[in-house]
Amino acid sequence: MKQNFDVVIIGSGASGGMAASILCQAGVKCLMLEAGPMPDLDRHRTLKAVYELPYRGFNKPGRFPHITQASEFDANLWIDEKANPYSYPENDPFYWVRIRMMGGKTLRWGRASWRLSNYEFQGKSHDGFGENWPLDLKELSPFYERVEPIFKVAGRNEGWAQMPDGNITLDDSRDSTSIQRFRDSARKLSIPTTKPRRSGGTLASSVNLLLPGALETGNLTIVPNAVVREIGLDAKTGLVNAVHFVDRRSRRDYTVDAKYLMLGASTLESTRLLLNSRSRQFPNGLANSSGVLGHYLFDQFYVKNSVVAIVPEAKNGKAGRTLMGGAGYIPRFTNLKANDLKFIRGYAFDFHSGGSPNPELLPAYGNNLQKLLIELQGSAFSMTTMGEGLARYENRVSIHPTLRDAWGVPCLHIVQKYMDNEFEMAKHAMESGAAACEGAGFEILAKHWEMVPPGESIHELGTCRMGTDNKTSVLNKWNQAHDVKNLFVIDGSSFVSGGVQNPTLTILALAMRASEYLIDQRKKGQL
Amino acid sequence: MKRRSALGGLWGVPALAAQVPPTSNAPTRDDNPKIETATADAVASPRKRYLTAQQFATLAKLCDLIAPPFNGRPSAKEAETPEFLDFLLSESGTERQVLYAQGLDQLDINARLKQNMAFSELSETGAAEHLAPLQAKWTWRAPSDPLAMFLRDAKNDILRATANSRAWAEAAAGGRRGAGLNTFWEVID
Repeated sequence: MKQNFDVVIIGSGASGGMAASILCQAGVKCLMLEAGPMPDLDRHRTLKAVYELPYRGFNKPGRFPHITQASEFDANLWIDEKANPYSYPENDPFYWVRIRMMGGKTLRWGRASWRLSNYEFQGKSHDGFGENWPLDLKELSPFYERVEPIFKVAGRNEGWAQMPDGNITLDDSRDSTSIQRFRDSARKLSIPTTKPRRSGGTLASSVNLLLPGALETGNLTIVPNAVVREIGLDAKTGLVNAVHFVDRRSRRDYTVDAKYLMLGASTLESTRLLLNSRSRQFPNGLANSSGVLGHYLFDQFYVKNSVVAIVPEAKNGKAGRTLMGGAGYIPRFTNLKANDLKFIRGYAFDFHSGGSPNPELLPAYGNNLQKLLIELQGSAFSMTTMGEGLARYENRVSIHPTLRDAWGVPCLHIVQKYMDNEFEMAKHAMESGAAACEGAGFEILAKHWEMVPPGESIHELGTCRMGTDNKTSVLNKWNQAHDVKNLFVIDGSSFVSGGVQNPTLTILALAMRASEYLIDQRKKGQL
Repeated sequence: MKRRSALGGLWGVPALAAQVPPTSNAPTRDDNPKIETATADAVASPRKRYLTAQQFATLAKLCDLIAPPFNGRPSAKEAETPEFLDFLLSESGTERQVLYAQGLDQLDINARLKQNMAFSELSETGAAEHLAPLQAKWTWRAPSDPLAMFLRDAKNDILRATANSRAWAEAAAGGRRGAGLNTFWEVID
């Protein structure tokens, strides 16, 4: 006799982990299906010197055509791109960065933890573009309030509307002189600055923060290596009734009953799964009566090292701790009151003090280069731009007609392009960042506004968005499918817009909220 | 002298060794011993795989010029960077192979045209005019000139391969720990 489960959760990352945590602690029996293996963090991680690696840290050529983050040290952590292919238009690459393993991308996220503001939730009301979310900051705040302590978020509350305060540990560490000088210069340009706001701890993953508590309840069963290929629909009730998956290693097919489904396989994997789950009721993908599923893909564009400068006083071995070191953040500051620039919305910066400039930036070689590197050691100051990509209908994913992964599951074709709004924003960011550096007395070594390809920020969002209108959205405000009431899509695919904030904190808050809604609705007998 | 050291001196006398009963301190076959190993490039010279002899000589010269020995750090040559890059190229895609092969050929052709000798035979001063693109201001987009593009990539590769070498680690103050020690993720099935 097989065990019965109340809820099937697909994915073990931020959203799946949070759903398991909330549901299991409320006494709900859950089955979690994870496509990847379960790493043993003691056994599967060892210390090695770079020269001990077969490719001296260069990685095996061609292994990761799209995952620029993969090093030879952590190559086995990232997805096998050959086994998991996808496509894009010839001249418009999309870098789909994935981890298929217990914990998903929470094993490797940047940990920046900012709340979205009403500039995002109510973006259309502010500047007329796109759609508003069907909820606002006030509705999501109680969930942010609970997620932040779980993830040990630390930073500063500044009381700015575009950067909502959080339930966080105060970071009252002193800034280095170079950081303080930069902040003073930025203030004169009306550019706000603050400390980074990040999740702490040695590991900040669903693997250590969410799943252990869920397992302790005895209500969670986790099956790794379960590659879900399709969601089954009961034609009579119009509800999800099964999940079909393939064992990753044996390729044996399985089916498990599902009373309720929490889909958190990651933004594009969730949408891919829905698009691949076709039936007579939903010939274009499960819960897709609107035809919107797959559309409105967006992310945050990144301009890495958009400004690199030298702090002159730190040259020649004077880069001590008082002068150099530390980091900061510039939240969105454009178009908050008036919309009078060449673009709508805005961008943010991460900035860092310390370290040496990349030799690539220095116009020298040989001994001259080595002398320059010694002269500039520890004196670098760098800024990375993160700008809002707009959610446009034409940016979308669809199922490739012939391409299949190693388990025979149809693959995605991904179309996303940046347009003038993003380009103008990136140029503006470069100039404003450089101006703040110059005002601080830093020497600009290099500046540019060339963004990395879409996807590389690993902040891909949308394609299964929520909304109040079932003709223009797939999900309601509770992450519940308009068309299929026992289906919840709880990851980044549900976003309507993304602002400049790293999305994980919001994904966690939404998953928590959707899970509690499911519990509440079951209690009321409305599901 | 410890028992194992003493037995080590009895090489060629296995009968005697066989008569010595194991003590409680000696490892047995049931133990899980930690056997130390060495990597191939610590004990052997790699065979060249991809570049022609002339191209390899040009690359070796380029390595000398871009990463000479400095402040006790080994040169690219001492780090066997030319040999490593030859191997890396042999595993690389066509685009990168062509970039290197054509770039190295072009350097050699330019040297023969202007100085009537191979690039690999030029002095540092003589080579400088051929490496002028490396002294140009950095731009995000790679230069359109193929030779300039090659030199930019080669500079990065040579510096990185040298800094990531065993020779560099041995010269570093912290030894193995001071030379790019990091967490390695094993294959997870």
